[in-house]
Amino acid sequence: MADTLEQHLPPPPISKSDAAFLEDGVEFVWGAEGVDVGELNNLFEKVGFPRRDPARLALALQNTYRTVWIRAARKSRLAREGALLGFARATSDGALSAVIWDVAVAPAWQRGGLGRALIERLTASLVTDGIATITLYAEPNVVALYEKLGFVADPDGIRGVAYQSKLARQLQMANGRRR
Amino acid sequence: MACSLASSLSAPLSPCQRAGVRPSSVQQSLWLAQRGSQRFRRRELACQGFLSGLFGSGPAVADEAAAPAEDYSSENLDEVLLTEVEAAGGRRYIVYRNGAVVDAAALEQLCDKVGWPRRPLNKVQAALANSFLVSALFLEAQPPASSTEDASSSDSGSSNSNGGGGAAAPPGSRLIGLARCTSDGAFNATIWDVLVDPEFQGQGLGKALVEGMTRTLLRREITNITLFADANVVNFYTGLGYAADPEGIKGMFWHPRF
Repeated sequence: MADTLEQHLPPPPISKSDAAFLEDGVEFVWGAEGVDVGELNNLFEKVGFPRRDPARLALALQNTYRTVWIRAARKSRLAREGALLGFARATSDGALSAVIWDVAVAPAWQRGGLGRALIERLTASLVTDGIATITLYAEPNVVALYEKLGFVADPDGIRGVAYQSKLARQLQMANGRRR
Repeated sequence: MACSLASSLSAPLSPCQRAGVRPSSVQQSLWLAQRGSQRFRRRELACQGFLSGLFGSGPAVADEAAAPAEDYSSENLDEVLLTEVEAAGGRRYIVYRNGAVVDAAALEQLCDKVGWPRRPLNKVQAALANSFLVSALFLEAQPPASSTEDASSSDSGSSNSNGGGGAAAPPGSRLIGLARCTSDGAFNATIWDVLVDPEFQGQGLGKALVEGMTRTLLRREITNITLFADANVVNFYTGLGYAADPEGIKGMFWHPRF
């Protein structure tokens, strides 16, 4: 029995190729296997995200649908070879919807198109998997960045909503503060 | 009406309200107990005060008082009898099942009833299988063997059910409500596809689904619980302890098709 036909949108174009980035000394790596949790926490701290309990962060990565990160391809004055320079991940049910989380680029490497590159690639891979609903929650100062990448805030009046409670905040703080 | 995307992401109270069936006052749910008190409202349905065991033994979900996480550890939310329904053919029971096995075709039929566009069955099936948690409401012919009784009852009950959930509802059960979420199992969860059969709306079932899922996630210390709400159901969620655009954070969709 044929399922409903779907019109898939084409994936977003990749504005600067992997090869071009490699010439600049950075490469994109898929999957979280090579991510050092301590290094990831350092990156989070540099961009103003809370540090996470390392065991819980490792668990989160295991349960993440897709991860892409940026690796220094060679040693430079800014980073050793293999350093984690950027990161993004998405949770998903693998079929209908996905949510992008924890998009981060090390401050020393910002303004070079790395954030855009991460989102283009992550989004493209989700679209290629046939996932029609790709979402994220954007802090006010990055909403415009995501709009340029094809994201729309509050489409048709749909609002992003999050649970608020003192207990939740306490637990979040506990999860965030543990080293 | 709202596009596919909008509809598929929020509790469908608006069709019910537009139809004038009942002005649903979600703060006055029939059976959700708050902090040791039980509230009932007499209607054509018989209500049971079981949910004091669900929500009354600790702080209510939206309560501002602090509570240690261990308060949740003894709760069993896997199979709970919500209420009895006196139907023409005798008694039926609305059962809340955490970790339910849901048939994709049954879900899409329910989506039809609330006016959501159909999605490919294979995708719905995969999405259900890969959801972190699926909670469903079934209309059943028998009360579940392990239904949680009123907190004041001393009956410990027989524990026939597998506590791990994931069991299918008995044959003859009818799916009348659902909520599911995706999650990384540690920090973030996003709730999708919250819906209640229009025949059973206006009685606090959507609230029970969302509160049950929220509570289950908090028990696992997954504290960033998010979702996307249609404009006309934002108030439903804010009434349950959710806030829109917290700290100005905006929910965004990639090239939404509507």
